[in-house]
Amino acid sequence: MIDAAEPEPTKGDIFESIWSFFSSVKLALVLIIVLAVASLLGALIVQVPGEYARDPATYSLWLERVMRPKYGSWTDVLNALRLFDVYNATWFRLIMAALAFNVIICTLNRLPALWASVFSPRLRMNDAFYAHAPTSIRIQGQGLTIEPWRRVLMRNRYKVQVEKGDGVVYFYGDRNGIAKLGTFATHLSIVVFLAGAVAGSVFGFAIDGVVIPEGQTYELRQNGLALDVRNDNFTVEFYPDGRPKDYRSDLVVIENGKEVAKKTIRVNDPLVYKGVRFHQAFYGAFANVRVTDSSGSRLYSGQIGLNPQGSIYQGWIALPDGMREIAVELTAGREQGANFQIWDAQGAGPVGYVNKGETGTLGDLQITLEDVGQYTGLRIARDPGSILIWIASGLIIVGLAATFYFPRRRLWGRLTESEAIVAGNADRFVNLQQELRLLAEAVKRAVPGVDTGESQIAKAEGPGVGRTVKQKRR
Amino acid sequence: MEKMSFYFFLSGFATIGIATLLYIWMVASKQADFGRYGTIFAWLGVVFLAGSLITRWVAAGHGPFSNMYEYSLSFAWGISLSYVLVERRYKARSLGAFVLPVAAILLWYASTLPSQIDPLMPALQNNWLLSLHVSVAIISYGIFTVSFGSAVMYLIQTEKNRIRWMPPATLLDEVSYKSVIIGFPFFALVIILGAYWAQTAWGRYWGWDPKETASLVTWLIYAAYLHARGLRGWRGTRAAVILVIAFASTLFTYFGVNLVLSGLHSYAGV
Repeated sequence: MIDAAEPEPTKGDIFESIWSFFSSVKLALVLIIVLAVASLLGALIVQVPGEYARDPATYSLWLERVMRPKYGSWTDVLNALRLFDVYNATWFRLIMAALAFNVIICTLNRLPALWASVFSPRLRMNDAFYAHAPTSIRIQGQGLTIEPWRRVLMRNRYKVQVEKGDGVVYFYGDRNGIAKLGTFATHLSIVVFLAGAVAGSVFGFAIDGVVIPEGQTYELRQNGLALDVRNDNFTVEFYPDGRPKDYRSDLVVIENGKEVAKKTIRVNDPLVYKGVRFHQAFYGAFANVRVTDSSGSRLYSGQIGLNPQGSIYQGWIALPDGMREIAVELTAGREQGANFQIWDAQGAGPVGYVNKGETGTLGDLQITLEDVGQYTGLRIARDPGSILIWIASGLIIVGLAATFYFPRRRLWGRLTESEAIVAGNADRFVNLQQELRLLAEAVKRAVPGVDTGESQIAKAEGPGVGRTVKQKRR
Repeated sequence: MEKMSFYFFLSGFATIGIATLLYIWMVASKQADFGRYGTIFAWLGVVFLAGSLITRWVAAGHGPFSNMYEYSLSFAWGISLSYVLVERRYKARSLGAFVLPVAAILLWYASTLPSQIDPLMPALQNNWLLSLHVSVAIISYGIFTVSFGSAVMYLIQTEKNRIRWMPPATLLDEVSYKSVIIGFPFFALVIILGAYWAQTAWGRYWGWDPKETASLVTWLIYAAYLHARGLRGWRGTRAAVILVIAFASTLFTYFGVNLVLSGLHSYAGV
């Protein structure tokens, strides 16, 4: 028992140690690698289809029938690790959450110092810095002033600030300083991406596999919405080789009895109403068929789906005797009737064509084609989180471009009547020494009449090739 | 036009092949002259392959990015272009012996594939997205190939600069790193454009489709490289190893998904 009078010795330490744990780049590295490996596993191991995952009974059936033959006794191990549904597994989401937390803590840790270095930098360093900086240049002469430096640096996109001391002028130049904040945009975007994904799964919905026969209406009752969607017409066109060229549905959205939206949707062109997106996803045909035998007793009655095979729709009716099946075929664009063929153990049997609304005889069977037509297949979804995804996308691109394409250079100058020393540092392989030399030459040229003196390079060039420095044309 | 494109392809294949041999010959014989001719042939190859892509674009009426022949051709062009630009900047011709073979192999592979222009399936019928998404991908993959070649050289060269005809390890490290920082934002853009297209065509920006997943994995490995490089003990050899793995992942994203795994992108098979 902890005495209330005693201080709590561990609380601060725990907080500190959690903070330091999550502020490490090493942790970030580990999390990135773990996330990459986990994602890869999800691509290599067959994942359970979404519609099976929701129902435990269907899931275990899928596990036994589909996965067991493939993975044998490993099935149980993989299942226990949720490797058949990696992206929805709790452990996968925990990694994501840890990464987001890691990003936030790292950002908070680094933001203040970086912010200060961009918006309230130190303009003047101590004398030892100017004397010993590894990258520096020195110009000697008479009557040196700050003005040519200011002009040359500004022309080279440096932001210049000046501080006057006792007979000494200090200046500070910062090029691409603001781009340093790009790293925050990049890292923040990771958090916004995840927030968008969470918002989508909490506040959004998605219905796959919505089937609407021509002329019929689908009632969408979801998240407080009451929309009716009517499929007025479906059209499909084919290339000569039978592959689909274009398929489209004329959709009408009805709300409170009024037609509120109308559009011909295609695969790349959905209908959007009140944030609900109606996507053309697939298509097919249906047939309402009744089959009776010669004695008049009913063998089958119902609707079957016909899947597209090139420009033909095909489907099967299994008869209750378990011996025979009827193949149903329909040609796209000619939905006035369908072809029927009986198949049994010996193979293909008699063939016949039946018009819509009529009855035909096929062997000993009477086949009535009550209705036939095409249907459109839609995905209906609303994702209020997607706006966050596009914001995060903008952030990450701007952030990465700023970080990687605009390396920062910082220069500190110390100027007297007779001597200028400029020292500095730069990001990532910028050959600052060479840039400094070119800047100094430009300064010297800008001051006609001043003794150019000698310039001295403190250290040999590092690796890399310098960027061009704009020089004043004369 | 389609024929012309094919002749350009053959010329590009020949010149890139010759350039590759010249670079390898230069390295083997240590005679810089071969390298100079290699550079000329590599540039010619870039021009021929560009010609092949442009004429095919005109003939098909859409970006030549819809089957494996076209992918391989454009990937090889992306590699060759990235290489000649890097060579121009760093004057390190021996890099050619490690980067251009990848382009030559891709072109050889393309030459074994059917090269007819396929009509586009409905999901691909989005001209500006098709062109932008895939061409940005080609640029980033091309640059990543350069970083791979340079990383392989680094692993052979090691920090001790064992091999005289190779550029020093520091330069190889710089070439790798700079290639990645140029390619990485482009690759992020590829994934985002892909997500935007998926939202338009399939109704969701992300669905863990194998191609989507593989591209994310590749991006994560390059992200790991960028973070690792800042840590002590991870520069140099370990960073180069990450780059080799990252390039394997790039190839997997590019080919493996289309040829091995099934998914929404698998229409893009041979």
